[in-house]
Amino acid sequence: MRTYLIEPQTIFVPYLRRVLSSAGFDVIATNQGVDVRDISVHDPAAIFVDVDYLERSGPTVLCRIREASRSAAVIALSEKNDPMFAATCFISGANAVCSKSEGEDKFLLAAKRAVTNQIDALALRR
Amino acid sequence: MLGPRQTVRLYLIEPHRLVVDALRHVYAQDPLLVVVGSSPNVNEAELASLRPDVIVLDIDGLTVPIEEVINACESVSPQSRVCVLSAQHRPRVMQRALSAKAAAYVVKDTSPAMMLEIVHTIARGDYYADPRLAGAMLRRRSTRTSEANELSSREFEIVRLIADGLSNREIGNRLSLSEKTVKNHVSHILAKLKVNARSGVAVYAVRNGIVN
Repeated sequence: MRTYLIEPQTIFVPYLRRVLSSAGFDVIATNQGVDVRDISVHDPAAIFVDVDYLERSGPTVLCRIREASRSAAVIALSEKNDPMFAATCFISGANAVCSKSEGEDKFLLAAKRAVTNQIDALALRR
Repeated sequence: MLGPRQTVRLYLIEPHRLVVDALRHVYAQDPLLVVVGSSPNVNEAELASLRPDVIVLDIDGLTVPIEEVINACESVSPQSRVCVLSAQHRPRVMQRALSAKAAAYVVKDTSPAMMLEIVHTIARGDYYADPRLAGAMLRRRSTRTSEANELSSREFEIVRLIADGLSNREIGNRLSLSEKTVKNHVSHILAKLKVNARSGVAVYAVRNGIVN
């Protein structure tokens, strides 16, 4: 699956690439989140975005991503374990919100559910 | 202090499982680096028994001052060198970390290859400051922090508590001082910082990274 990765923290990119590719997500482009307009050029089926420490707020970037791609499954990744923040991410266009406190198994589970159009409510139940 | 070809034993203090896995992945690329353990916070017993060469400490999301955590690491494992990891591009945060005796301040947008190099650098006894922040930090040290240098450690403590919103009485209770003594300290602080009110002290504390 064509996958676009937005990760401002370069140090984590190799790990995320490995985890995603092991689950069938083929990372075709990465971006540090400053300007996400090139998403429409790549036309990915899935977009992973680390919403912590983006140049703009996470929900703002999610809105921009949604403007650039109506159909991709958008999976937000955050250090925050906050249901209100998760809800804001959903409203801004995310299909799943994953916590970095969870391991890669739950992260990938949420990602797979998101690409099959199942909104992941794990974060909201916390 | 380690030589250039010696194995470096690392310990990670990181509350997020996914980030721990990502850091382990980075360090696994270098056969001379071994992650001997990890914990979401300062696990004193484990640090004291493992005695790692380098402690990688993620300060993002900390609810206590950076200095406290670095001091805790140093007291239980004095031979370890602390590598502070943060997403914050803030010279004042780097300054606080290095002043608290961290050996390195690394921003998370550093490349994995550079991160490996930094760990070896500090394991050899050297220091690392993110070069993008170092210039601003030095400028700050030579100008804006001159007033702060005049504050005593007790006054520093009181500045921090004022910024936390405590009254003189509450500060007195916290530090076992009379309200009058606190009032005297506050007068000295106002004079040294050249501000007229407590709100000015709080603003100063926030601007200079005395409080998070």
